[in-house]
Amino acid sequence: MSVSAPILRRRANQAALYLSVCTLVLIMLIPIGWMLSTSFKPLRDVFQTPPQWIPDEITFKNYVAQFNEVLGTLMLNSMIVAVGAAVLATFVGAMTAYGISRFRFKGGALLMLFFMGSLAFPVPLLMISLYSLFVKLGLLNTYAALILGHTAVTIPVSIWLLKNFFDQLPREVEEAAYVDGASPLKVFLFVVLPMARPALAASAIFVFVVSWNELLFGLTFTSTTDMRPLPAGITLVFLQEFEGAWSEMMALAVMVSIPVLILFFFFQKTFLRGVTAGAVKG
Amino acid sequence: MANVQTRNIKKKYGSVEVLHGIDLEIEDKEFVALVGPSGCGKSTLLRIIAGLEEHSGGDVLIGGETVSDLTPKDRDIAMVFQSYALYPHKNVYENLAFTLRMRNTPKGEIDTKVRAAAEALNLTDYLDRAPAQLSGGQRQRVAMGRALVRKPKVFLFDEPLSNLDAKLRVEMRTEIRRLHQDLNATSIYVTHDQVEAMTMADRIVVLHDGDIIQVGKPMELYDAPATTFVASFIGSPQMNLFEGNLDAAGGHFHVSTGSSIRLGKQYRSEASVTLGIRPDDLELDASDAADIQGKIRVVEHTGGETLVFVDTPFGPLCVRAPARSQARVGDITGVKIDRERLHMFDASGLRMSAGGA
Repeated sequence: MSVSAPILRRRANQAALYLSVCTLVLIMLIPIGWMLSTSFKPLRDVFQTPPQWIPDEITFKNYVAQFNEVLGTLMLNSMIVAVGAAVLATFVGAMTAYGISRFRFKGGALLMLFFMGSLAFPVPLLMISLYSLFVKLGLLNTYAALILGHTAVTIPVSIWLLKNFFDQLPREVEEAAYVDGASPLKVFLFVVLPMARPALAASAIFVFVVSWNELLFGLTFTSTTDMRPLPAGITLVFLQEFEGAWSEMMALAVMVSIPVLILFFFFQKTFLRGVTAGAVKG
Repeated sequence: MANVQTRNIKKKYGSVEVLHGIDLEIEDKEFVALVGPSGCGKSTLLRIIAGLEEHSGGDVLIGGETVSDLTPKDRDIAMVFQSYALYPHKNVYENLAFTLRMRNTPKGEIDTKVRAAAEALNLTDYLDRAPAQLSGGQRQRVAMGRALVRKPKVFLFDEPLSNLDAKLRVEMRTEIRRLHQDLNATSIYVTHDQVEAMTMADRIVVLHDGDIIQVGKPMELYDAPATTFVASFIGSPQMNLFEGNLDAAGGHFHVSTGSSIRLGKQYRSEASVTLGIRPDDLELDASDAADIQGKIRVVEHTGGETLVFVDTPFGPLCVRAPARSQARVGDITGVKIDRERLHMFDASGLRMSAGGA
């Protein structure tokens, strides 16, 4: 029995696709795997040659050692900063995006390009100007500095994401609200924002994750441990004070990735669900 | 008093003018339908009356006062949208209550009014449902409920029935008409469906390319269409229209194939005219008294009547015949014309009046 040439070709294409996707995923999983593996090794085995994926001796000491006051402080700092940035960037982003999407004015498209263009600036460059700004405002070593800094680097993406969403929302629902007697602000707060929940969640999660993982601002804008977020804290604690405590550092890294994983696990569907179902002809 | 007037309303999108100065007077408690093909400007006009669209010139008056500078909120109107435009995240109760909440109505009053509206529209059992859990007809009723929960001066309907299936559409037609009577409000109803306009409206406004072509009671438009456009737009199946010319005396109509009909009336002689005859005013007639001979091409039984399409020297012709007509495809038949009900239009499409027998 022979299979026709087009079907064969399609299968070959599919196989090639799967193969390349698997390769990519594997490459991306290597550091995560190494992180996991290292976190269960005693420090002396970290640099053994040849390197071993499955440690000879599995230890949980690296994890146990993390449950101390410092971890709690770092976690709390990161949580405050990431939630703060997520709320601020998403809310301000939503207002900006809605304004550009709904109220026609000259330069709207240009403004969107400007936001996009701002992504092209390297973060260290922004860091310098933000630093001098925060010095003048007296915001150094505060949550506000980190929240504002993280908002500044994420809000362009937030605006783009939300504007695309607003562009697709049926205008008639808002018009109905105007006829029903709502002011523009009330339409935005009570009609548009609830309808935009999936996009708002997507934006908030994006900002949260960026902020949660951000290192440079965390290192430069804070100077004391009680203000430091996790990535900066991890770097400073393990690489300076205890000089290369790699396995403990990896254990902590595993622990701090968990909130992000949980976030994605629970909100995956929110990204996709269309809250507008039923608003217009179904 | 809530009469609605538009004075010389113009609307431009860039350099394109879509409304060329609309003057319209709608009486208090009147039900007026705006009809026309898509793109004629009827929805734009309605949205200008609602305040959702800015006009480029002219004035809108509600109850004798100009509202051109007011937001929709302050015009005391309610609008039902084609897409229903329900708030997807609110249940039926909240959808109905929203407008009252926005106007700071006391809580107890909101509840009374919402329940009364739900009662009137058979929605009481669905107050907790989200719009997504409702059928099309129910959503439509919620959209209407949202309009009538607060007693506005003017109801605006923007093709509210075009998303419903045929059966529901007929039901809702009666329901909207009943609500209009119960509420004693002024209603303006936009539709592209001339049947809706004919059945529901006190008066019909026919729009075409941004101009009002004719305003009148449904039967006035049916019996005396002002132009060939109205003639073909109002009535289903549409009026048979033939192009030809009148003889010098104006008593006979000739087509280019050489055939002619005696009109039984005198018109002013015109080189180029259009003759209109409604399918209702034609009759299949096998006798010698028939006015036109032709061959039956298609026979459509609709149940209550039969539509017979006949090829004649004047062109194809539709005849409304009785329900159990024996007409068969391929038969040669005669067609008799009711001369009292002929319509004559001049070269520019305007109705011509007959000048005596």
